[in-house]
Amino acid sequence: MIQTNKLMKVYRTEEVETTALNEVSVEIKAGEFVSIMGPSGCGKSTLLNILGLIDNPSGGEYHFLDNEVSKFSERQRSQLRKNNIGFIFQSFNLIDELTVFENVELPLIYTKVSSSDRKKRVDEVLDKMNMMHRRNHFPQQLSGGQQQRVAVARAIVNNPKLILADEPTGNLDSANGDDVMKNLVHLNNEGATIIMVTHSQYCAEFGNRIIRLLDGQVVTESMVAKQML
Amino acid sequence: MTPPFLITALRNFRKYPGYAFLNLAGLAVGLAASFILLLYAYRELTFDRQFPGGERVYRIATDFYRMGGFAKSQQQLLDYLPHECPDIEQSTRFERGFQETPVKIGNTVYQEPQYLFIDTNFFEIFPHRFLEGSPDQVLRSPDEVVLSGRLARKYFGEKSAVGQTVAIGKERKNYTISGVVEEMDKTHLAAAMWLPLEPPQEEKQSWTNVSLYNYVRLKKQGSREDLEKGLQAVLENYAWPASQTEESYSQWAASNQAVQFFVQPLRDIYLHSEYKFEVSPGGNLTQVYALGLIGLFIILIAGVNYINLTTARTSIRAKEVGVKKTLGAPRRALVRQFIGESIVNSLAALVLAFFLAHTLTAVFSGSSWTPLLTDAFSNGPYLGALLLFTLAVGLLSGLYPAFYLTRFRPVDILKGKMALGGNKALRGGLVVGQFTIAIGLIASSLIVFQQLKYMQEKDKGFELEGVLVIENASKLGGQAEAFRQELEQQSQVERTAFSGRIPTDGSVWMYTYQTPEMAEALTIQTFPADADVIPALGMKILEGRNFSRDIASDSSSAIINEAAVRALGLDDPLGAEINKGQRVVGVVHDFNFQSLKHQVEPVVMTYTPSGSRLALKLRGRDMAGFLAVLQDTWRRFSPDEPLRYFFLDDNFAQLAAGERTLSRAIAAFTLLALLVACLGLFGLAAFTAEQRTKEIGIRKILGASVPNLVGLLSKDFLKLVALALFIALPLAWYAMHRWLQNFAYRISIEWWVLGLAAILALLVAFLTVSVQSMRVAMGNPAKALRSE
Repeated sequence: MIQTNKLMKVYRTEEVETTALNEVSVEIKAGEFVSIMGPSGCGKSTLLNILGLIDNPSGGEYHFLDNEVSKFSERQRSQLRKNNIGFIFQSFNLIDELTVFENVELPLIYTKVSSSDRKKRVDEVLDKMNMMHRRNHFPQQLSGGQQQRVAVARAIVNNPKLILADEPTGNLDSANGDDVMKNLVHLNNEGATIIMVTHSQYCAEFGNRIIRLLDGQVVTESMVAKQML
Repeated sequence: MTPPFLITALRNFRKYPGYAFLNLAGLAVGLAASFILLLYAYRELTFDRQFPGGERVYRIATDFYRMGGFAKSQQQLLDYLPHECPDIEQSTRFERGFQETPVKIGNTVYQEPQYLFIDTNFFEIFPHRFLEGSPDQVLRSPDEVVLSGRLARKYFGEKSAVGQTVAIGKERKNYTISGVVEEMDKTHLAAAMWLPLEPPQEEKQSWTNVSLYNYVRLKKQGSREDLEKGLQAVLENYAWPASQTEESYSQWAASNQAVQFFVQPLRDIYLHSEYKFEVSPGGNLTQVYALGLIGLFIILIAGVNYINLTTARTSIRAKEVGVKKTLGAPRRALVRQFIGESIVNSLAALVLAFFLAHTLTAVFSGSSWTPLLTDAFSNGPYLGALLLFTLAVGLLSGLYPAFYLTRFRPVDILKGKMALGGNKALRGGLVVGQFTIAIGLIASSLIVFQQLKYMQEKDKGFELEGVLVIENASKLGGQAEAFRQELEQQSQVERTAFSGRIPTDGSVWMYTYQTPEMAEALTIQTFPADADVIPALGMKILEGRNFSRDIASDSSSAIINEAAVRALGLDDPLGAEINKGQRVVGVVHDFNFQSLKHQVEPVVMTYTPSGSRLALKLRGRDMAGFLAVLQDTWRRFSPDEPLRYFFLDDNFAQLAAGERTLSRAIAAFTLLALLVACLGLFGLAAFTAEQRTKEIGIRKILGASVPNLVGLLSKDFLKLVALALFIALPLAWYAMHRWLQNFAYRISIEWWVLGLAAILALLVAFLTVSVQSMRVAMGNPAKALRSE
């Protein structure tokens, strides 16, 4: 599903040139749950953004669903992204002015799903995430755990093939964190491919493979000895 | 030591140069534009204020036969009035020069247009600053003259002018210069040369004849009512008896034959008086108010901008405020800081405004705008007022952020709990206000423009084009006919006509007419004309016939217009007797001989084969060639008298000159107002877009396209502009409806004009906002989210 070859990402300011990714080559197959780990500033989020087609690499190749996308225009990436990828962020990134329902509905609006279908599907995922009773609340009225459940609902409402999670438990207490992880594992079991960036070894081990980055390079790749949940 | 608020002000400028520039430029443009407009209004509203005791000076205007009033009045009036009104302290009379007069110094002849013939006490009622000589030593003999400093310099350079001799007038009469005074321009009595008023030659004491301007100054305890009572007594004791009527005084006073007096305060004359024979063309009150109002509007828009942008931007400073408060800064110090910064910025804008005002007045150079800035720069109070005004704007726009931001508990600010960006509703309201003004101005200028175009294109009832009028044909005396015949040889001359009066020429001919059926005579505009006037000017005869050279009885014939048919109540005008022995032989289509502000008045044309005006209907191309021939021919016939002529269409256009200036100024300043409003919208859109960067990023990651996002960001602003439309258009409609009432001939306001204004405003607003929206929408969403 995903194959990168010597991906490079370089940030330039007036005086400094920072190499965020240095020849990163990874391969992720459909159905995998991959955790990316490493210290702050090692390039985890940069890699995730590139894999999620939010950002373009400065060099190297990136094959996503059999397309070489590293030179794709913003429009092409957007097209591929909105139909295939769901995002979960550490700080939830819900839009404060929209209700729970409207937040979850957004990706469907942008993929031009009809209004009645949208309602059906949003209600389905809210139900699945146990958030139906909060559908008309605003994000500010929810706890952190609830907000992340809404974010997860939004990430999966489009039935994406790939779910990208950037520190999804970083802002949550351990109970809520576990809850989110169980949800991710469940989605993985249902067939979604998941790539998750995390600081936490504990969370990382919910996946079945761990990629460790240091200073923009892959240092180790290891399989997780599967434990039953 | 540099005060801390100056440091932060400068650093903020460096950090956000774009915003800072927008903010400054907006305020500067607003200050400059409104500065010019308000100065203009101030100037116009303060005419004739420079004379000490001027508040006690009045002009006596008069009317008789209901002719519409004259700025001049009877020459003998001041012989009687002081006896009837003991409150008069002093009175003075003068006459103005009607046309350029030659002034000969050595071998050089200058033509001077502005001069007055004055009583010896003129300079006591209207004190001027004497550069040479003194007021009590001038014009004591009939061969003395007073010059303005400008003329004295023109004639004699730096040499003293007093004692020099100049020859004035066609007769080259010698005058000795006895004084030089500083020329005044803010007065309806502007002149550059003052000659002695010659005593009246004949003792003609008619009360239905005007010849002089009569002014009085009252004693300190005197009142306008006393003066009016005095005038009443003059009517009763002199004018009424002189009329030799059988009627009682009150009957006479109520009749059309009555003489009336009007008292005009000196300071009201320039803007409020519209009598016949004014000393100088007056100001235009509508224009003064319109431009003054626009000036206020623009400064309002600019002030609002400044406040809006400043408050929006200060939320960025919330963290600074939080930290400072945590470290123990008292609220007072923070308030001082914000207000200080704001004032520094507004003063910077003032400096910019000066440069702009300079450039702006250059656009209007050569017109009446030019003296404004010279006035302003040399006038302490103006500068002081401007400075105060700028400080006030700075203070006001500093107040809101100062108190708003410093109100919060530091912990809330640091945790980001407060709503950033200030009061959204207030800001929305201010934007609505700005655009209401801008849209109103757009709609108004479109309508003014339309009305002007209409006035130009409206059928005037005769042909304006290609008609040249020689004004002083009477100077040819007995040779006039020979002159006319010689001109008719020219191929460009299609037709010639002698007339006592030509539409727009500014002369006044009115006679009384009375049909046998009428109880009282009616005063009617009269045009003495020969048989060629009607065909030469392309007037349309509706009934009857034109005058004819070959019909002897035409010397007592009249041709009247449709309005006269109605006014005289004629059912069957042809052959009707409109005065004893004077019969109507034809009816012409109504024609406009005045500004289109006025209804066409009744007109009687009387047959007069010779007249002071010679109208030439021209055709063909070589006008320059023809004018040369004309000058040549004139010089042969009248070597001493310069030829004076005008083109009829130019003269008609001149009647709408005030409206044209108004439309040009409104258009220019409407653009400015719109520009300033857009600058504000631009800044605000930028700010909002920045505030919503994260939301945009999220939406983009979720698949929103650029048009989606531009729409999202622009929608809120367009809503505000749309709301402004709903307020502005009815207001503009109402104001313009009122303005159009000034014109007897006017357009009706069409809905599409308002629609056009609406579309223009929405388009401009959308373009302004979408530039910002595009920038944010096209940004990299990864960057937007990384800033967490």
